[in-house]
Amino acid sequence: MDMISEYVAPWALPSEDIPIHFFWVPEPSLETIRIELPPKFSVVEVLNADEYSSGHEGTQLTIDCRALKSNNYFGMIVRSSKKHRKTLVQCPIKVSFISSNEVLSSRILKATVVRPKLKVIDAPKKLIIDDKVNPAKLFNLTIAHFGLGTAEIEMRVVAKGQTVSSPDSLYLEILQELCEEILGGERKSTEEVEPLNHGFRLDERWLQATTREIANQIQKGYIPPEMKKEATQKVLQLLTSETERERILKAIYSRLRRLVLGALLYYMDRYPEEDIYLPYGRIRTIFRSQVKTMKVRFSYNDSMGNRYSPIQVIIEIDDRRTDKDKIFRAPINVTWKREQLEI
Amino acid sequence: MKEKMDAAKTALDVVAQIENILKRLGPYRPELKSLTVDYLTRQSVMKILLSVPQGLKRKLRPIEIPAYPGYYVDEVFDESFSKVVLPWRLEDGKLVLRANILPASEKYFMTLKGSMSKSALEELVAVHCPEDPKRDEETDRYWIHSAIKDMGFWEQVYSQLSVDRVSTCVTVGVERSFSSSIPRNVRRWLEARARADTALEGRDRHRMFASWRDYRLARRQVGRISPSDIFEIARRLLSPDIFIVFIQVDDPYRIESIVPLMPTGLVPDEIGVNVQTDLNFQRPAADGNLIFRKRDFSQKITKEFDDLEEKK
Repeated sequence: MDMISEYVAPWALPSEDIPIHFFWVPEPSLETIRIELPPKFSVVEVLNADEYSSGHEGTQLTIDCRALKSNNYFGMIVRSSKKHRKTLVQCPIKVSFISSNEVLSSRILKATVVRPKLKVIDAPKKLIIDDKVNPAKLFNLTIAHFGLGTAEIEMRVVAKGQTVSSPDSLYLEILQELCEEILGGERKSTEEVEPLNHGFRLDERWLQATTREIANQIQKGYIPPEMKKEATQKVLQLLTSETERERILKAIYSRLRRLVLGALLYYMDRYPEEDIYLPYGRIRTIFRSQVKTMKVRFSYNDSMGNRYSPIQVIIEIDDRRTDKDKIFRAPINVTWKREQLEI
Repeated sequence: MKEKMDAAKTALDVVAQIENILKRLGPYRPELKSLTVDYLTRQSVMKILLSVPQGLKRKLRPIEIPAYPGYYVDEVFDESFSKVVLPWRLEDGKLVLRANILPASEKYFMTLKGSMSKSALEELVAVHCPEDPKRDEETDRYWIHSAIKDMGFWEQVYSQLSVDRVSTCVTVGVERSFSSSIPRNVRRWLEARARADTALEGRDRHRMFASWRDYRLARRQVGRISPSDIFEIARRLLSPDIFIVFIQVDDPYRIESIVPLMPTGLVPDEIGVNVQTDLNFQRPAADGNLIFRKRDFSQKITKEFDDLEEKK
């Protein structure tokens, strides 16, 4: 049997569609196509055939070639539901082309199921906080990402069962401020904010164009998920109103310089390394005197939303400050390492 | 899913009815020759060969073609490929023509044009590309696959089927290329500036002066670059005309358009690259790769910053 073309997608995440096809020189004696899928695989769609029979929890398929609408073409879309522990697992899909119980041709396609994987490379066992310590340089971790695909990571520090970390995203703060003030109405409302002018140059045409762009983004619905829906709806309403639009544009314009800074920093914070995405940017944590240990937890999922077992680091805290009641904040400095995966 | 299937079945029924009615015309022996669908515009072109022999039958039977909403007779040519303008009239949901007014030619080539519903089109082809690319140091690679889902019916009715410009949008991530190529001193300056802005709005004078001093120091190290310069570089490099240089696609795919996908962060995180191919009976499925030459792109960004620092 002469195959013109055969294909399986070279890699996929769990629950991602994996297309497969075969196209062969017409073979009159071909009667049946038998497909054996790996465990935990399922068929999403069969191409060029309406009917097929299946067994073994849907992993064994038999297609009567009379059911093929065009006699030399067959395809499938399959998915794997299993999240493997290994970063890369090759799953064989066996396809047999049969005539009168004789196998004319047998093919094994390898569907490669991948995943992102994080590992702690370096972490302190103990943090000593004294009166001389520089908070910016105190808390350092090294995390590596093996595997394939983007890991969307949420970092959180837990002490005595309570979260003691918060996003260090200036961008989010500024956007929220913009929305809250526009919304506030009764408060400062949409008064123009006196620009802080300290020799910071911004091109006027660029400022105006960017103001319009931000307004358009809001109108198109590009709103960070962590922002209140009601807040953005009110802003949207005002922007679409002919009488209010100008007022909102002025409010955006006058806050833009700070927004510009925040947006840039936020942009850089969220993508510290290839395939590492931190939706909330960096985080900082608050140390309290009574806390003796802290847990830094990295929860993550892949681009399909599959959640993987979090990794965590337990760190002992030794607080030697003279004034232990004073609030002590420190950023968590993570060095990200990317280990590429060969397929 | 069922709704889509029904919509597709309806579309197929339309063609089946045309076939049946044309068959019933008996002596005229019309044949459905080809169907070409443009995936992007959803416009379809149906070619029919109409045989109308000379004789008494021309006076007895009119020619009837089913008239469907959105479809119309575009052109009719005779055997000598001369265009014939004919007075088709709409009668009981059919396009009707008195055969006795036709010129001497016995064969006519008709073109019907119309549009296919979105659901019927989705039922006709499947397109896929991955969520995440495979990366190495130089490139990011995305696989692309397109396939006709159900070609049987079309193959029975038409001797030629072509679905042109089957397109899919590959989302190419540029976030890392850009954020890693912003010079370190520019980043330090931005951070210092953000800290200074926050401090200046507060009441802590010590913090205010300290942050301002840090900012002035960082400012001196970056020359006269401003954030708007950074956005302008991003905007220029991510414009389709420039970005296309860093994208290549395997045959049989080609690039149709490049669209920055702009999130709230103002600098696009992702660029949508629309790629397309043609499918037909001879090639019911197509596969290939899209490659983003990210190292070259990063080098281009770095060069832009170097040039800017020199200029300023």
